[in-house]
Amino acid sequence: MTGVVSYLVFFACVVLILGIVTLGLNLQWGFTGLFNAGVAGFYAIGAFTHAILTAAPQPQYLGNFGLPWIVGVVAAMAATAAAAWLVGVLTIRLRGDYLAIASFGIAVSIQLVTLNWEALTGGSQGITRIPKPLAGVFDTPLAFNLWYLALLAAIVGALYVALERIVRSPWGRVLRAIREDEAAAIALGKSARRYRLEAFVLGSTMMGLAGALYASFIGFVSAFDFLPIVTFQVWAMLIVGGSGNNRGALLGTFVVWGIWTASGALVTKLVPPTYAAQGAAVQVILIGLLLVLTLLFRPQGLIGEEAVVSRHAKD
Amino acid sequence: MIAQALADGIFTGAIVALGAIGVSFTLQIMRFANFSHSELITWGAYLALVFVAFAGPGTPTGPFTFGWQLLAAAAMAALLTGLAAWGVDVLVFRRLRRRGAHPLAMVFAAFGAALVMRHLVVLVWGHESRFYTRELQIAWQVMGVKVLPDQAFILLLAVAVVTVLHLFLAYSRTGMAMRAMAESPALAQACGIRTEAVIRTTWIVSGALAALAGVFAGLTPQLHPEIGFNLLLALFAAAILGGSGSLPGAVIGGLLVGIAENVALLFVNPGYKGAMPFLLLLLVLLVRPQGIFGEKGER
Amino acid sequence: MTAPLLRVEDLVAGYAPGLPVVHGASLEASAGEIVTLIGPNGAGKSTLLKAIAGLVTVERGSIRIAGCDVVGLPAHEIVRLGVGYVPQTGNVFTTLTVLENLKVGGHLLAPAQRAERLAQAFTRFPVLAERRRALARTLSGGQRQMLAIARALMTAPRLLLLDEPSAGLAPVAAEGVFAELRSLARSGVAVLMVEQRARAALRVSDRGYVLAEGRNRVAGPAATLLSDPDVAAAFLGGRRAA
Repeated sequence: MTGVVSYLVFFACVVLILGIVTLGLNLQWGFTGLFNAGVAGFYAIGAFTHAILTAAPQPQYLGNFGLPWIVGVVAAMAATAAAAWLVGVLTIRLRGDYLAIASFGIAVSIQLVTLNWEALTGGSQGITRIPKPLAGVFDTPLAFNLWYLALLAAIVGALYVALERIVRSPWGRVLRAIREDEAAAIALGKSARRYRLEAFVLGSTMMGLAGALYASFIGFVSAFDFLPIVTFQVWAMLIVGGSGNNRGALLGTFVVWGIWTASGALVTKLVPPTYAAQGAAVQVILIGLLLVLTLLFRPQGLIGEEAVVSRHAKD
Repeated sequence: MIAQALADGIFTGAIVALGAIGVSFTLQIMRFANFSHSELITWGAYLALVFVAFAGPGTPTGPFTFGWQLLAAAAMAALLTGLAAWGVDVLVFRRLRRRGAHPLAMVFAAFGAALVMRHLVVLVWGHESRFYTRELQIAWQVMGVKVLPDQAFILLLAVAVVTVLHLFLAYSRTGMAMRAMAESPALAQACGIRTEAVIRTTWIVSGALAALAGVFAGLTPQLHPEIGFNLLLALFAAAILGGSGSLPGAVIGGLLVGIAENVALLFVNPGYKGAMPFLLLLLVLLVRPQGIFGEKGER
Repeated sequence: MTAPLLRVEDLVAGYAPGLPVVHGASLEASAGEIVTLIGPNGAGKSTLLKAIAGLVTVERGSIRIAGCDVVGLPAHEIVRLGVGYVPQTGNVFTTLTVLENLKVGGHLLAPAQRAERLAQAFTRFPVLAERRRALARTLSGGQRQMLAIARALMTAPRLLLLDEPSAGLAPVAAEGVFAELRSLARSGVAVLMVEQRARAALRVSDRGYVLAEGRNRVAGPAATLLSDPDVAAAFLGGRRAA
């Protein structure tokens, strides 16, 4: 019984962390029409910044400063924001699919840095011993996870409320105007670029925050946590849930991560270890199929865009 | 050193070019960035492996590690991959096109298709490396540069394929229709061109070229399920570098990417090889977004 | 009197379902006549032409070409029925040569017939013959328009649709285009054009229609429209000499 409960708590924590990433992507794509195919890269910057700043010092690492948790979280957001700003300044003016290619390339490059700059990131070993916030207070893993779940729920709740207000604010209306009408965006010219850049940085900062929360939840990060598949998973979450809708983004995260986890559990149970690679492949195929089938048969996602937000249908 | 890097770069570039032609076609004729094109390369490589498993790679002929059987396998793989590319279009992309879906919905669909296609290969063959042939060969020394006979053969074959393609695009009725549609689908329709037929041909040709790229990549020296995916950025870089315009654009873009990658490796940690095409691409997008051969103001 | 070659009735058409641009327009064009469509910007004139060419969605109404309803047919089928369409912008393939543009225009033809039509095009437009190897983007505005028309003529259409054939041309070049259309009509082609240079176009036309807000306003012989003071005040602009 405790096993099931602690598993569910763990699952819920991961869903909420990924939910933050999906909410960030929804701000970029759902509300602004920015095609960020480099989600994994910004998530990685947040996670590694946090890990480098807070992990317990070890002689072979450049970083591992052992700083407090909150410093790591704030710095992770700042570092991701800075990276997103730089990337955005360079690429935000590109048309949709070129932006996708460029941001995909950025994520690949970031992943290569995390893999190859061993002194800073531990390379394929990764960074271990990342402290968990208030871990000393909660003596069992379940107690800690419950506390962390509460913390995450509070953060996601606050972000959700803030995003709902943002997208209904004048700033949010401008974003949608830019998304809906390329001509309006061009007419706005320089200021349209500024709005897009702001949305891009804000959304990416949320991904960085999620990275930091992930690192301090698991206590370990490595380059293999941020492969391009993460980007595709988050996109699947947003599309399946319904882009342009914050509740859709969260629901999509739950559904896609649920399918991913459940299929993973089934595969481990049914498939002999020698075929582990094949089993994992089935998991990915399911995600791919889910994405394609949603686009074909339910393009608006599980929850479509709210009418309040826009009368313009996606297709 | 530089000469060797150049030679290796031209060889890599030839493989990239064969893949980039298809990416460039999709960008221009279907008007979306096909993130699943790399998987056609993988499919081509593994479909050829199926034929090789039956017929063997053939007895090494001359200085090469393979015989005519491998070439036959490559031809079969090209045909089947071309049909597969069209099949994916019928199953996925055409449905979205008919619905008048957002152009970027095609890109999401390509994400999904790529995941499925790549992991079907893992499902069947696993992650282990595979080989068409385990024959060893002795490198030729040409002016201080080491060249494997297989590489030289592949390069010549690639040149021949690209030449045929060029003639097809320049002079055939369908080739002209493809170029017309790349510029303006509406005007092409007004000329009586059946756009769906042109799109079908485009997929078949793109898939066939991707399959050849896959076989060539697999021959030098091995196949693995990421054989195409690892080329994805290079393909986009080459297609955009060449200017999403003319065919010579994609080919020269491919060569430039291959050369840049190999020359950069003289100075950079090889671990960063995968980022090289991207840096080149970023440079192009910033300095000359229409590509090297593209017309100014077209995109 | 024989039935008109083109008969459009109560047409509702547009780019997105539920958002029509043309709201119930009707018109006719017969073999051998030039019909001009005039009206303010946004009246739906271009959309009406595109609907006939099969390039936009028709929601209601009928389009008959020689009695055959073409609503819902794909554009390439409509070309086969003998309709040529010259859009206003992007009416030549700039990245193709003059010769290639004409060949693409004759995409549907058998090789022998295509060669024959090419020869006819070069006889009709000697300037295109001179520049056959040039990329279309290097042509002057007038030459481009000639190429666009020649391209549409490759299939020997019975009905030629032109969207502002004189746009961006100097008056002399525009007169050249109109003269060409006149001679086409003499050879039996039905010409339907949209024009901003309403006076000049009506002068070479047999009949005219005034379209506003997607509906017919006035119709009649070109000469009548030219002399109608209301039409002149509302749609032809003040300058009589245009």
